[in-house]
Amino acid sequence: MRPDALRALLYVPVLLMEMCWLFALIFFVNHQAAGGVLSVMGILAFLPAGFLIFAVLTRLAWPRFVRETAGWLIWAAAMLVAVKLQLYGAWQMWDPGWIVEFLKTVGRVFHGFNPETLIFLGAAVLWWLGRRLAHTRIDFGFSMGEFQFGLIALLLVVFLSNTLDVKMTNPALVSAPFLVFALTAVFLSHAGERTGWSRDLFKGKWHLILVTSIAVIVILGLLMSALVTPDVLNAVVAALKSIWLSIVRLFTFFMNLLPDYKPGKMPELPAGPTLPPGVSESPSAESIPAGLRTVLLVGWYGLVGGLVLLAVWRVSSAILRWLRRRFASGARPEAEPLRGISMSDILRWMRRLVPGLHWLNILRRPRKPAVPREAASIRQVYREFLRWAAGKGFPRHTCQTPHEYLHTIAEQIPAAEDDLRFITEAFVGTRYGSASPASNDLQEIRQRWHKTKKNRFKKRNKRETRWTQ
Amino acid sequence: MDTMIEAHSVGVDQVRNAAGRFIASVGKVIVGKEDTIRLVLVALFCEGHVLIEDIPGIGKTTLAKATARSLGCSFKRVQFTPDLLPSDVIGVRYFNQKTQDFEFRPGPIVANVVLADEINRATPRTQSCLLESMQEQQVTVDLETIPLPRPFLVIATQNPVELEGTFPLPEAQLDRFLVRVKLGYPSEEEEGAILSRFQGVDPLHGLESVIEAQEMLHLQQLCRRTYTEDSVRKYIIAITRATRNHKDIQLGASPRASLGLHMASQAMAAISGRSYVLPDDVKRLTVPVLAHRLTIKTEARLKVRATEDILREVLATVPVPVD
Repeated sequence: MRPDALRALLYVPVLLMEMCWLFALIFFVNHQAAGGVLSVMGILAFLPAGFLIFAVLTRLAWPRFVRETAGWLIWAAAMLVAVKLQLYGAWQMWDPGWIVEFLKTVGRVFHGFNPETLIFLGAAVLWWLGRRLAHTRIDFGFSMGEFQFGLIALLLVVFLSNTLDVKMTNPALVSAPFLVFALTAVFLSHAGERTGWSRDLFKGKWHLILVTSIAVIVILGLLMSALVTPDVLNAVVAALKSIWLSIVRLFTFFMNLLPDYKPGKMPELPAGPTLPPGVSESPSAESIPAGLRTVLLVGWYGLVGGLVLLAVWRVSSAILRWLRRRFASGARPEAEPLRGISMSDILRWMRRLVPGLHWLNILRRPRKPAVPREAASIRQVYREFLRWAAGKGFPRHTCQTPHEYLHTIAEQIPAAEDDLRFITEAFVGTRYGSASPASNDLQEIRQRWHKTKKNRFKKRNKRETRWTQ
Repeated sequence: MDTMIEAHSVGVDQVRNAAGRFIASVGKVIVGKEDTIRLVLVALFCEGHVLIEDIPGIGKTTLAKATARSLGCSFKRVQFTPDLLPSDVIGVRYFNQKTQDFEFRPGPIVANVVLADEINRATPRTQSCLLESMQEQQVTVDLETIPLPRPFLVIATQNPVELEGTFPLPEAQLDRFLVRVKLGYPSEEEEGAILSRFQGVDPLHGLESVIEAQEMLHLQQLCRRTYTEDSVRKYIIAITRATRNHKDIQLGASPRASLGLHMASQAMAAISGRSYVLPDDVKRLTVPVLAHRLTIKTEARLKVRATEDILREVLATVPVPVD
C-alpha cells in the first residue's frame, strides 16, 4: 500500500477509537448534568464532522485566518441546528426567540450546568478535537498516546458510573470496539513506519510493554473500583475535612497568641468636596442596562475561567512534555522505535511497590553516565533549534544525521548557514565525541543561535518533495 | 576520556596525512574516483579485503597495482582461471633432491598485496583456498601453518557481465571481503584526463611508495583507537539487525558484518581527521560494507530490486541517534 494511502487510512481507526471513549464520557455527563435529555450521538457527531470540515479546509489555498474563521462559523451553524433540533423543537426555525433563549441559558452557566451549556461546550470541544486530528500527522507515537489516554479516560468513566450508580450501556459494548480500533491504529501506524512488527512478535520488547501497560491500567482500575466504594469516598472526604479543621484550629491558635490589634487614633480628615445637586455619590450598578450587565458578567467570568483553563493547560502541557522527554531519553536506537512507557520505568515502579523483588535488579539496564554541564547546554541549544525548525515546518526526519539535516535546513535559511554549521559541528563534537567545549565556545554558540532565530525561512513551495535518502 | 581523545587526535592527524598522500598517489593513475580510493584505503586500515566488481576495462587491475605501488609493499597477481588449483595460489611442498628434504615453495598469496583477478572464474575449490588466508592471515599446507606478511590485503576483481564459465562466490567467501566497490564509467572530463595522462609514459610506473609497511601497521592500530560513542555502536547493530528482518532479504548481515562496519567507520573517521565516529560515517559505509553480504529473496530479484536500494530503504527506517 502506498504510504500516503496508509497515512490517510490511519485516521479512520483513530477517529473511531476516540469516538468510543467520548461516547462513554458524553453519556455520563449527559446523565449527570442534563438528566439524559440530550442525544449522545447528536453531540458525538461533532467530532467526525469537525475532522472532515477542517480536513477539507486544510487543502484549500486560503489564508490560515480565513480557514479557521470558516471552520468555526460552520461549527456555530451546526451547533445552533443541533440545539434547535434537540431542545427547541417546538419553536419555529426562523423565530430568533429560541436563539436568544439559548444564549441567555448559556450565559447562566455559572448558576448551574444545563443541557444548553452541555451542547455548547460539548460541541465546541469535540469540534476542536476533530480540528486537532485533521492537523495532526498520525504516527506510531501519536496512536499509542491516544490509545493510552483513551483507555485511562474510559476506565475513569466506567469507574465513576459504577460509583455514582449511573445506568450506562454495557461497558463491554464500548470497550471492545475501542480496543479493536486502538490496536488497529497502532498496528497500521507501526506498519507504516516500515519496521518488522509482525516478524518480531516474540522478540520485540514493545509488545510486552503494550500488554503490560494495558494489564497494569486494567488491574489498577479494577482494584480501585473494588476498593473505593461510596463509603470509602465519604470516609476519605471526612478525613480530609478533619485534617483541614485541625489546620484551621492550629492557625487560629497561633493567631490568638498575637496581641489584639488596637487601632490608634486616626487623624481627622479634611472635609471632602460636595457634589453638585442631582448627582449620586457613587455610580449605581442599576444604571447599567440589564442586558449589558449580563454580557459584561458573562465576559468577566469567561475571561477568568479562560485564564484558569490556560494556566492549567500550560502546566499540564509542561508536565506531559517532561514525561515524554523522560520516556524518550530511555529509548535506544532500534529498528522498532518505541514511544511510551519504557520497561525500565515499569520495573522500577514495581521494585518500589514490592521491596522484596531484588531479583528484578538483574533486568535493570546500566545507567547512562552523567553528561558534563557544558555539553548538556550545547545539546539543549541543539534541541531548541530542532524544535524551532520543526515549528517552522521543517522537522528533522528520524533517519537524518545532524549534517544531513543541516544541508536540508541551510537550503531554507541560506543566510544562517554559517551559524547553523557552527552549532551543528559543536553539537556533533559533544554528542559523539564526548568533548567538553570551553565556556567561550558555549557563549558563541548561544549568540549564533539567537542570531539564527531572527532569520526568515524561504517561502515554501507546495510542490516541494519531502526529504528522501 | 577527554585526555584519551585528545591524545588520539595526534594519531588521527597522522592517519589523515597518510590518507591524503595515498589518495593523491593513486589518484595520479585512477582519475576522478576519490571515493573508491578512499574505500580501498578504509579496507587497508581495517586489515580487510576489497572486492572490485565492475565491467571490463574500467581500471580494476590498475587500481590494485597502483595501491600496491603506493604502499611500498610486495605485490603479487593471480589470474584466476577454471584450471587454477589451490596449490597454485597457496604454495606447494616439494621434495628437494639436493637437500633431500621437503621444502615449501610459497605461492603468490604470500605477499602484502595480492590481486586475485577475475576470482569468479576459478572453481569453488580454488576460491575456498583464500578463506583461511583472508580471515586469519595465514595458510596451512600439509598441517603446517605459515603466517602471511603484514599488512595483508586481497584485492579481488570480478566481472558482473559475463556469467558463462564463472562460479559465483559463495556467501562465506563474500562475507570475508570488507568492502565491495564499483568504479563505474568515468565522466567525459575524466575520460579526457585519462587519455591525456596515459598518452606518454604510463603514470603507474612513476608511482612511488607513500606509506611503508611498518607505518601502515601503526596507522591500523591508530584507526582501531578511534572513539565510538555507545549510541553509534548501537546504531550499527540496529542497521545490521534490520537487514535480518527485512521482507526482501533472505539472508541478512552477520555479526562479522557489524564488526566490519564498525571498524570501517572508525577508519573513515580517522581518514576524515576526526577522533570519533559519526553516524554519517556509518551511513556512508553501509552500502559498500553490507551490500555484497546480503542475499535477497527471489521475489525481490524478480522485481529487479537492487541490494543497494534495499539497504537505502533500511537506512531510511533505522533512526539515527541524535538525542
